[in-house]
Amino acid sequence: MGSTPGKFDYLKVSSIRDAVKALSEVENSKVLAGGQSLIPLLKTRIMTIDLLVDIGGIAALDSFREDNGFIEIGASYKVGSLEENRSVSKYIPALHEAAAGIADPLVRNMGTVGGNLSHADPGNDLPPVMTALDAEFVISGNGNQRVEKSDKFFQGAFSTGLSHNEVLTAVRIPRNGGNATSAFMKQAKSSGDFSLASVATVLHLDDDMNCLSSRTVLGSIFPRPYLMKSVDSHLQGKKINTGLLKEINNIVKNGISVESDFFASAEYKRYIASYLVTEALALAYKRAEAGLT
Amino acid sequence: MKNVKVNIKLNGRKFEREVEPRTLLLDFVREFADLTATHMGCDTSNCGACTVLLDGKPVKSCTVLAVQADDREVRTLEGLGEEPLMKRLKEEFIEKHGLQCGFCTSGMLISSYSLLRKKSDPNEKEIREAISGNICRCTGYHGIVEAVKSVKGETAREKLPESPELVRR
Ligand SMILES: Cc1cc2nc3c(=O)[nH]c(=O)nc-3n(C[C@H](O)[C@H](O)[C@H](O)COP(=O)(O)OP(=O)(O)OC[C@H]3O[C@@H](n4cnc5c(N)ncnc54)[C@H](O)[C@@H]3O)c2cc1C
Ligand code: FES
Ligand code: FES
Repeated sequence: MGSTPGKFDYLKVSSIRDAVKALSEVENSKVLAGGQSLIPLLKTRIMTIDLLVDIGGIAALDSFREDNGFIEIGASYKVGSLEENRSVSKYIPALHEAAAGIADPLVRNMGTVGGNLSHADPGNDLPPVMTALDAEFVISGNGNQRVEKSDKFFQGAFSTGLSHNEVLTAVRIPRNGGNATSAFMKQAKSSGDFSLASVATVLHLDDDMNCLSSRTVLGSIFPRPYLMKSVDSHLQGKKINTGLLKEINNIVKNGISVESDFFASAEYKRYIASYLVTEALALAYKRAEAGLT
Repeated sequence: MKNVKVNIKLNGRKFEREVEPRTLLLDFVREFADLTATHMGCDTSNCGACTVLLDGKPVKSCTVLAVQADDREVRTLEGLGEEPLMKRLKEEFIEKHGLQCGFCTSGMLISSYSLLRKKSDPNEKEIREAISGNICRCTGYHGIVEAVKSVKGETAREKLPESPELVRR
């Protein structure tokens, strides 16, 4: 037999309101989405809970909607669906790349967008992309709905701005006006592994291919997604070429303060972060030049 | 803690059982339904020996609760044995040395099967990506990839039939 979690009660809800109600009633309760992070924690009994509230039955949360101003992805939309979504690969290559690089096809068939974000594992790949995309997090709680940006949503390792009885229902990605391009890259020890470091970048270019604005975000290295303002301000008004990328590489290498840990030395982290930033910027720029996005 | 009734369409047949909510789909299939082609390898969501199809998509049954499969369709290797595509895959796994000890094989077969159902003519990169959630300690993967390569294209060319409930995906 497989390792069995400690005992818990189980409730499958069919509405967000019922989910919030159930979570409010039982203190030690948790939302169950795809279970790909939660079930392993329960199996090792690192975590025990009294009530699991399964939101898998709320059909409306498994959604993908394109509107004029934004793309809205329901919390229960599968990472595997995101990977296969043509609109995503065409218009938001960074999001496609991040989805396609998460774990393996088996995990992606269960894992959800909402779960990947709410779990807020520093090694998760969607948090840095959503931060780079300047996404809005739509949250439902007791009788109210609120919308937060990434800086409020991600508070630390495995820690978000969600209260215990709140449910993340969707993320909204503003539609990039005009000439926008993006890329995501990660470094992991082996295929399917969590990122040691990842980078998501979204560039807005003018007609002459100068960088109007950008959001470049480092994942995994710090407890929360790290928006690299020094990189983005250095890019502003410029064309991306080898010389500029060299400067950027130095900015990242000298600009982040990291410590060695079990997974990698500080030196390697600085190296890999600066390498990924320059590569991701080059890739995004190349896409724009090729008119791909 | 209350037990819950779980009703799964398992290999085409209704299978109902009252279980503790903490029951893994892996144990539901092996211990309650006596279907032992689904293996437990790592028990830590890493090896894919426990792969089954949930509503037509491969998942790790050691990381799914049986209650999550309630009212849904689960296929194990036993339930795919009569599929012409699966028969061909098995033949080629033997032919191309796609297995040695056989422990990973049910998972490998299911992942390869679902790749070929989705895409009849995948390239090598796509084949390797499709089995990237399945670990094999024996073969070095080469034989497995070769086996899938020899079957690929046949679905399109010979129009291997598939059972109706597997079409919806
Ligand atoms: C072998 C393996 C490799 C992996 N590799 C990667 C990787 O490379 N990159 C990566 O990004 N991830 C990786 N993961 C994690 C995977 O992507 C998970 O699916 C994801 O972290 C959680 O999503 P879930 O839907 O499975 O959520 P669950 O496991 O069900 O939930 C995770 C947490 O979020 C909470 N939660 C879930 N949904 C909501 C919601 N809508 N509102 C409020 N709270 C909610 C739950 O209560 C729980 O605390 C890996 C997992 C495994 C098993
Ligand atoms: S036993 Fe399920 S992934 Fe290894
Ligand atoms: S054949 Fe032995 S693990 Fe794959």
